[in-house]
Amino acid sequence: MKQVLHIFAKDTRHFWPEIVVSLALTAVFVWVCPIEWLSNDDPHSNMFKAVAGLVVNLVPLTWWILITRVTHAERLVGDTQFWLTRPYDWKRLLGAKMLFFAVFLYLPIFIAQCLLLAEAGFHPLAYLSGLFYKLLLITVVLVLPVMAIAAVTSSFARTTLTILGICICLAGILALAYLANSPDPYIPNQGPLIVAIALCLFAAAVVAQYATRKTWLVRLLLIAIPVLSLCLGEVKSYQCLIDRTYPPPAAQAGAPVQLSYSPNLPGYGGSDTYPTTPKTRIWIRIPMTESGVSEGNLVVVDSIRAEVKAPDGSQWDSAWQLGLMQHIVSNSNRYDATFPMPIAVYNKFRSMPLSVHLTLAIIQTKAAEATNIPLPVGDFSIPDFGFCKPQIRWSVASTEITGISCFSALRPPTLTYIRTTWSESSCSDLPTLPGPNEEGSAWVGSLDRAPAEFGLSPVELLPTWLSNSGYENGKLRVLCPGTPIDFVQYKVVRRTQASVGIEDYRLPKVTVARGQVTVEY
Amino acid sequence: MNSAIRTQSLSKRFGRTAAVDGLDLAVPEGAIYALVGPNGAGKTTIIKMLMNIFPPTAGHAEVLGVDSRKLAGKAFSRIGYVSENQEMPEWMTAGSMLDYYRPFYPTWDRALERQLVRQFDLPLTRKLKHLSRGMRMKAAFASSLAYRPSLIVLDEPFTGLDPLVRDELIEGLIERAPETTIFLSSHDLAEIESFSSHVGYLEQGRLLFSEEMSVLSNRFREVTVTLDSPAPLPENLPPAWLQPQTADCVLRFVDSDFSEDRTARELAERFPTARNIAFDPMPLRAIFLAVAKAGRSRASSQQDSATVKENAA
Repeated sequence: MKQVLHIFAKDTRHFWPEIVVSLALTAVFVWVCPIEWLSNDDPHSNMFKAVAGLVVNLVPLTWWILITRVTHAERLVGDTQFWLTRPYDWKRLLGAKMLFFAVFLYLPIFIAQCLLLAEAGFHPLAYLSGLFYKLLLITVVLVLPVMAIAAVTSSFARTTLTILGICICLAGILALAYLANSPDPYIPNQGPLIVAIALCLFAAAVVAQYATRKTWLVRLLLIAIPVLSLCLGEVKSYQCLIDRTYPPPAAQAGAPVQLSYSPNLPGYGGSDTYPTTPKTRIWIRIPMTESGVSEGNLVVVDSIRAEVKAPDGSQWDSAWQLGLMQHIVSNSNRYDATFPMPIAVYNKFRSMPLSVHLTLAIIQTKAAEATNIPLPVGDFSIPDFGFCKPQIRWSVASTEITGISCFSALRPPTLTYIRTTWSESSCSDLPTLPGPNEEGSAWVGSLDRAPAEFGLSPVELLPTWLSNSGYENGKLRVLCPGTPIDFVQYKVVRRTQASVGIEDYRLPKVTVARGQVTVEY
Repeated sequence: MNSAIRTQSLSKRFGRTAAVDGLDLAVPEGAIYALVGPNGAGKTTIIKMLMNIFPPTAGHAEVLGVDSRKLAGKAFSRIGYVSENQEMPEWMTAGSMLDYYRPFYPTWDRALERQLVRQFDLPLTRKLKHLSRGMRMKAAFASSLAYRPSLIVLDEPFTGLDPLVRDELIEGLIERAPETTIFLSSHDLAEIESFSSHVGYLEQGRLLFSEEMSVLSNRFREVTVTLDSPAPLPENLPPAWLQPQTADCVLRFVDSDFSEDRTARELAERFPTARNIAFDPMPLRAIFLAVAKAGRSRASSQQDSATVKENAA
């Protein structure tokens, strides 16, 4: 421990200017960050928000510099470093670097996040596990990768060039994948597993380099990490992963939702139009009738897989596609199964009667807590959700509430349905009479189980776009203080699969012209 | 006598190039061993393998009884290492560098440190990056001698230094010599000769000889023979005769296996008209040059004969 502290003290003396800059920026971050969620939408606050955004980006930049410089203080690449022939113990050297990061990176940002949580109205002690998980994410995404790259490079310039090179390579690979029209594979929610794997790989690279200084081997290991990630993204046969996360029901009747193909549903028809892109795919929308979703339940479609067979024996498998997070509520009676199909596949099957088998990875949820309050004029808190405040539209004549904005601690809250009623007349003309189409609703939050999301700010802004907002018949829809507003939170009951078979299905007519794709149903 | 350094068939390859090839070396405890050889002979490579800065491709080395591959951490508290191209913590002052190193060594001697600082006239308050090359080398020496290491390894320590600094450093080393083993590589043959007890000659990664300085000095003689009349060099000269050449009536060569009786007999057999024979002791520099030149001409003649064979084939 003596040697750890000795090296730590040396690094602190050496890098005090970098430390001061990093701490100062963290302090500025604590000062400006609350502007993002506390201020209203006036032009001055937008300027502060821009400053806050800049500072949020500068903090990790100073960390990058600090991590690289501190790692290079006892450079691991090369054969002329002073410390190689001194009684340095690699474990103590690594320990000293970790202590440095703990004191000058983790501790300040932990304190900053506690202060910000307190400023936002959350008690930091209630979120300790989430705060530590956030530090873990920062370690995996930022600290360990930069440290690992610094450990296998000989100078700050080389580290910077390597990181830029990696970014350019990744951007190039993604661009190639995009241009190659490859599908967006859906990998089920394996966040903690991916975090654990990345943590182990990066930690192994750092430890191996400190223990052996076999730079080329460690470089190969580091190259293997993104290659493995890309391979994982390209793996198509991850059915076992889906089956593990969404275990299929023993019998289809046991699925939380029953679907049947209904081509003649009222309202089905018309056309969809969207611009063509290099990756243009045809969005196929198949109308379904749903049943079986019991009262108070909600089914979320996380991912969809379509298997198509033609009479000539040819077939196509969409693989698991990123879902549109469609919600099927009880008594909605309707669900449009939507998935993308490459144009070449569409052209092959367009004139044939098809046999389609759809499998959905779904999450069954149940309404757990409901909070009903009259809309206050000021900020209000919703238990297990976060804080909300009315969005004010500033004008010379009046101040009208045109929506609400909310924020939560560390991660979006559990999936929540917000419902209220718009008023078409000014709130000063009370009492108002709600019209038939004046309900405003929004889905906010997620069913993700991770205790925190990656980012420096511990406060998550929640986009809360209430439906039917804006102008109607030249009048601005507003929320009047005292209007009842519901927050219904949904808890996960289970993850499972549902499937449906369709015979003699005909693909819709598609026209691609003048940069537009038109799909006619 | 125990060996402070011992290697067995130690080899290092960089791609297809053999930097060190089957080195067998033993440095006795208490010796001042000078490893000499032309540029690219492999001296620095050997030292870096001994210091576990990089691993050997084959073979084995022991330093103070420890396998060189396992040399790390505490083992370095008994070893002082100074190299001409070693990086230093440039941002530190000479004084803060000594302060920083001190806790790493249980045997650090503050009195000796003060003595070395005085002896080398080290400016403790100046940053290392602002010091001259000579001063930086003095700082490196002071920081490597103050803990009384059992072994001091020096890689070209005197290169590019003025004679005054060289003398000061050698003086500092000699004062430590009774209690330590010193292993150094150098081109500075004149200085080495003045204080080395053993010398090894390395060429193209191979150790051509390794022996005590006194034995070496006795083994090499510059021989000058005056002949009655000019005579061509006979073909069957002893292999120990290096660089034989004649000019008018004078024959000169270096005998690398000198024995007065034998050399005189061999001369009499080949040059019966020899009138006057002089055997002059040689400085290390002259021995080094003779061996190096002989090695080069041997290598070139081997290459020529290989080319001739290839052409004939």
